[in-house]
Amino acid sequence: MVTATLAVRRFDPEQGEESRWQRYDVELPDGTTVLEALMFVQEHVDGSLAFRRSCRHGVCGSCGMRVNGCARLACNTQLAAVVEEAERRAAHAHHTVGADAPDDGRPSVRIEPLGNMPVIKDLVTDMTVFWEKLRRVQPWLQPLDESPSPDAERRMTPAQYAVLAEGLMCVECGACYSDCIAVEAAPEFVGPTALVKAYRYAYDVRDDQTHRRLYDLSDEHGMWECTRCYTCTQRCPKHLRVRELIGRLAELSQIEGLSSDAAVKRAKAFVEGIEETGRVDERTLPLATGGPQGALGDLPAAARAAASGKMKLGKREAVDDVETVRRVVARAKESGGTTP
Amino acid sequence: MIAHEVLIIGAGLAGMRAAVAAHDAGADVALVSKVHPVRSHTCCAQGGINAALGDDDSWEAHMFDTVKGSDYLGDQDAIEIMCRAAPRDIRAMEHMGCPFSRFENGRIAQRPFGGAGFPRTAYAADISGFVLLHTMYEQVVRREIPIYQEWYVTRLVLDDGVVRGVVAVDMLTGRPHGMSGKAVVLATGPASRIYESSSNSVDCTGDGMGMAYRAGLPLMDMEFVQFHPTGLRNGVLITEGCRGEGGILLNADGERFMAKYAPNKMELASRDVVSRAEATEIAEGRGIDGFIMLDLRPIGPERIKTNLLQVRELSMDIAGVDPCEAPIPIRPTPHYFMGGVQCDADGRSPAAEGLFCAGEVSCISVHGANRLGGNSLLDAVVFGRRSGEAAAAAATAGGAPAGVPQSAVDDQEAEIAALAARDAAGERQADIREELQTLMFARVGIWRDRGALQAGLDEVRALKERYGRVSLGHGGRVFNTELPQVLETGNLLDLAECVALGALNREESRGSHARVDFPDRDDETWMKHSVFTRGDDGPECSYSPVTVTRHPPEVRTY
Repeated sequence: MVTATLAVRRFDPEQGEESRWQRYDVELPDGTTVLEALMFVQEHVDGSLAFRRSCRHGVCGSCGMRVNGCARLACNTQLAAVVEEAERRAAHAHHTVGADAPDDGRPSVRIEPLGNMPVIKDLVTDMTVFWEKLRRVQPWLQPLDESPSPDAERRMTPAQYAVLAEGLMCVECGACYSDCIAVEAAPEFVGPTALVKAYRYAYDVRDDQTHRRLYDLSDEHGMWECTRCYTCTQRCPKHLRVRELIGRLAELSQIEGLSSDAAVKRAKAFVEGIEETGRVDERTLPLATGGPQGALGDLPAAARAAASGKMKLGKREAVDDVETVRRVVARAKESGGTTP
Repeated sequence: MIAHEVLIIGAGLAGMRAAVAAHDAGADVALVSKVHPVRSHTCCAQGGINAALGDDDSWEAHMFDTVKGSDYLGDQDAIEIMCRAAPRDIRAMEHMGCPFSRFENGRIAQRPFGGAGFPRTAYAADISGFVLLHTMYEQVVRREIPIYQEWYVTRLVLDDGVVRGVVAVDMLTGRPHGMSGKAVVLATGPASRIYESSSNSVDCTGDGMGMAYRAGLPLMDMEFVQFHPTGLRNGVLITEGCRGEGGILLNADGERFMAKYAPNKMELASRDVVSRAEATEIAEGRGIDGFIMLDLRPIGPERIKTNLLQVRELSMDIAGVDPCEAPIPIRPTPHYFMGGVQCDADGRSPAAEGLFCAGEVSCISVHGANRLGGNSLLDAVVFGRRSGEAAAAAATAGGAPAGVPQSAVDDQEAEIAALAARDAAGERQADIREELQTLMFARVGIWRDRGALQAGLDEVRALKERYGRVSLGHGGRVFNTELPQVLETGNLLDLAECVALGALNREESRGSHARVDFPDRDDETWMKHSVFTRGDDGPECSYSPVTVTRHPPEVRTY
């Protein structure tokens, strides 16, 4: 049997503005998932507990939620594993995430709604914006020939299928989006889930709009707003390599000649500076990125950075072993990293 | 009042295919679903979708396999329509962008499936339903078809045999609304949650069948419920594609026992045959802790990791077994309703003007007494399209919609208030549902006999009695998930009663319906559909003829 205390962050708009923690003690058979534990609570202990669920085996994407601070699918998360995780973290008192969770005696498994979206009730979130962002990438096939013969399929080799298959298994649960720090910082960022969908269509050989798709995602809230922190890849309950797929969109943008984007220019200037001196030269970045007009706009920020000592004004001296740095850069270029 | 020409209830593959077809035919159409469309149960379909795409295959061969698979209870005119339409409907899905797995020459790949004389199951790895569902959703998005998502439809509103619309509760507010439509398409899926350990999503509670039945429409062939041969301990499915790719079934002695039951087709006999064989092996003591072993090692790790990736993950997550290294413990699991709301090959109900059905909620009947693997996604695509087209034609003719009377909405509001006001110490829906699921599995399962069926029917009726005292644990309205659960359980009870009664009445064995006390098929007396209508004291059962066009019944062996 698995013995656990679930601490669930409850919110009921009919009862007030504040959320609160509620504890449920459960003892359930080995192999029980977090979702099964919540279903047990809802059916036999507290019918007012609200959460979404449907297929209970990781393919419908309904039961995305944060467990012990990380977004996951409740249905493919073992209760015993997160109990052990909670105990391990409690043993290291410096771990302070979710320190407001109740904890009298036994460490509890903390269960909260997904992040980066408003809560409707308990673990049910309002995913309206999430779905809108998916719509933004025009997730449908846009072939050149809109009326093909009804008696023949469009051809695609198994190898071509395999490339887009890497992005197919996204169940749109919102786990990556919930914990995306770029969405948190810039709520208009299209976000990792929509970018995976964009990958799936951009790399579909039957689609004729790859260039336009990439162009549309090259604006300030498109693919370049990703901070490359890899949290999405870590969180994905279906083991999609989310960040890598976003990187491949960037790679394809380069191939498609879409390097006019500010972020690409900035990345190039960044690498050139490193090659030359082994240091980042912040003075050159605004001009390379935004041109004279953009650089003018950055002047006040530059002045503040210079005044506070964040940015040096003088010429950059090369680091002692600049040759080693250059070899590192050369190796990185040879190995064909996924980002420019 | 919300009004659309065509209202589609349920946004799985069949419902969304119907919506796209109705939209493309020029109708103002809206989808109403208790979940977001991509959460629908279609996503659970793994193995694939049948069509005679190959140059050396034919729709006639597909039709014969389907008729034989149905144990001659399927209506052959409808089966012919489906098998003829299959290649174009599947290629239409491909044209919409559905990513099917491919042969080296770039054409849609096909794999062998149970009960089929040809490898005619097109697939996308082991996520076929998932990619079809997402492709269809994306077509709905492209057309900007309105979706009332997380709206739970509670009632079908008829007026003198003519559809006027539905009543639905918006989960966000908990308030009922009238939704007016000149045509309504039910696409609400199955009711396999009358059983424990079902392969179905928790949401598969027969809502459409239940509301049609309460509105006086006939249900058909409800006693035929398919048990899938390979479910994990909790009912989660392992696709038939595993056996199509070369997986084998072993008993506790390591014997490939299907040789005894289906010497020609072996593991790729029809599902009813394989499930019964497994149940027999387990009952006679040759199971391992109540399970049979599905051995995928003959397939080889490389192919498992490309074509059966999800299966491998599920097997490791749920059974703790890596199928590249060891066999997976499986057993038969309640999976598919061959029965449903009676309708014709355009999905049209004979009993209500303007009412159509598509997908698993319907009984057309193309599956008869046993469905072939790969034919349910096909049913959803072909008859989804046809019902959408027919509904659009019906809705765009004639005058303005009559609308849903306010009294229907008021009645729903009163029912919710009464449930909330009832003593919280009343019956809990979860207890009733669990007892129902246990008794149905035990008494109305794979092997059936009169004594157990009568006991099962009596127990279902006793639970219906208790359900009269069911209460909501709390009266909150915003996302009160207990409210739909209570109403779902009401549907399950009505439908379980039909299943048990149909099984008790039918004194023969045919397809999925196996009577120990009547082990043979009896074409003389029982080659007919069971039809259930709601009477004062539960369902009343009558019968209707089977349509035979090309294939008179023969002895069925594999």
